[in-house]
Amino acid sequence: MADPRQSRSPRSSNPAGAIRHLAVDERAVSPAVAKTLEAGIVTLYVALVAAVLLGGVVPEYRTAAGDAVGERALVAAAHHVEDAVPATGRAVRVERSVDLPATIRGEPYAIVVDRESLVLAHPAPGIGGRIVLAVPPRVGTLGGRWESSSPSSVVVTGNTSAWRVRLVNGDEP
Amino acid sequence: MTGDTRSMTRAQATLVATAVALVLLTATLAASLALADRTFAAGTREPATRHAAVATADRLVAADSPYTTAANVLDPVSLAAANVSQLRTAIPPLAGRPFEIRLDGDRLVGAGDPEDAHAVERLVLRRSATDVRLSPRFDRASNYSTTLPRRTRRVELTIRPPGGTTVVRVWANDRVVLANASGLVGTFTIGLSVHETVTLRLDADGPLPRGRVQLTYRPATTTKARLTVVVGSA
Repeated sequence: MADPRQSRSPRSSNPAGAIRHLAVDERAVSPAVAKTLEAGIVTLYVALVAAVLLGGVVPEYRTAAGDAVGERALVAAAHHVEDAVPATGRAVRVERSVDLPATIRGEPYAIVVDRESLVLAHPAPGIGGRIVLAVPPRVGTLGGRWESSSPSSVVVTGNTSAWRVRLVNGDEP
Repeated sequence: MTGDTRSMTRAQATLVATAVALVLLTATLAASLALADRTFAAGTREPATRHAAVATADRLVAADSPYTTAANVLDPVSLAAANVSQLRTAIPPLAGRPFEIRLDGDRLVGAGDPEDAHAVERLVLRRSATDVRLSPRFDRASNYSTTLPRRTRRVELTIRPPGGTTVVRVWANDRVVLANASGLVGTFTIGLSVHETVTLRLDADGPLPRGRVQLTYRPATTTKARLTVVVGSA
């Protein structure tokens, strides 16, 4: 009598019948390949997200934050200029040093007088601003320019009714 | 073999799990960016409007302001009569913005509706606004002079001399403030200093009984008041 075990095909563990033998290309991937694929996909994803963020989103946010900082620095500069002019007196000489942030968004900038306003001049196109000054009526001329990279001061001079307010850099007279 | 089949299924399942995880990660990233954007937009506060409000308050209460008699001493009448375009010219940051100036809550002058965009409050002294009328007698006994009991910035003098009497000159302390060789008749406004007590003296050739000369002035007394400057965005 033949051995019933021997007549069974070595692959079949199913008592109901023989299993279909799968061809090579119908097999699922093995775990090692799966893990490698996952690592590759995740790396690609991270690279893609980093490229999108650093290329588009982050510079925009830096510019927006730089704009807000610039506006506040401009307002602080305007306050300094307005506070430096005394309300009473005839002959006056005031020299007040002003603290400006050295860079905005990593680049130095300038604050310039344009008629009655202070204007922020920054190399980046999205950062800038303009603020109108409120100075006493006896201030006759307003001029000068501040570079953020050098120490800045306001100089108010005059000995008649028309005073002169200047934005001065460093050790200029 | 059975074990192989099970781990083969699991391998594909972990790929799906990775995909789901990446989708969730992307969704979280997008949500965080949206939240940060909204927070950033809400945080910016228009520092230029705040500067306009503070600068206006500073200019209004300064010693050289046309609406004060001294630093922080406000004349509410002159401020209430202020012209909006005058204010906008004198204080350039107000140009193109709605604003309102209130004293103790009462609106004195304003343009547009600032909707409480940015309000600055200052504690000021407010000059009293009641007039005092005096009708003193000017004769030789009083040396044709009278002293004002309170200091004031200006006094209104009405002179109606009796027939035969001519008032030639009026002195305030040692300053001639009115002079007319043919006689002063009528109402005159004299500017005075709030820093000194004033004695008015008339150069007349006859006595002036009570009622012939009337003085009206606003005494320079002060009370505390709250000045509110509200400036809106342009």
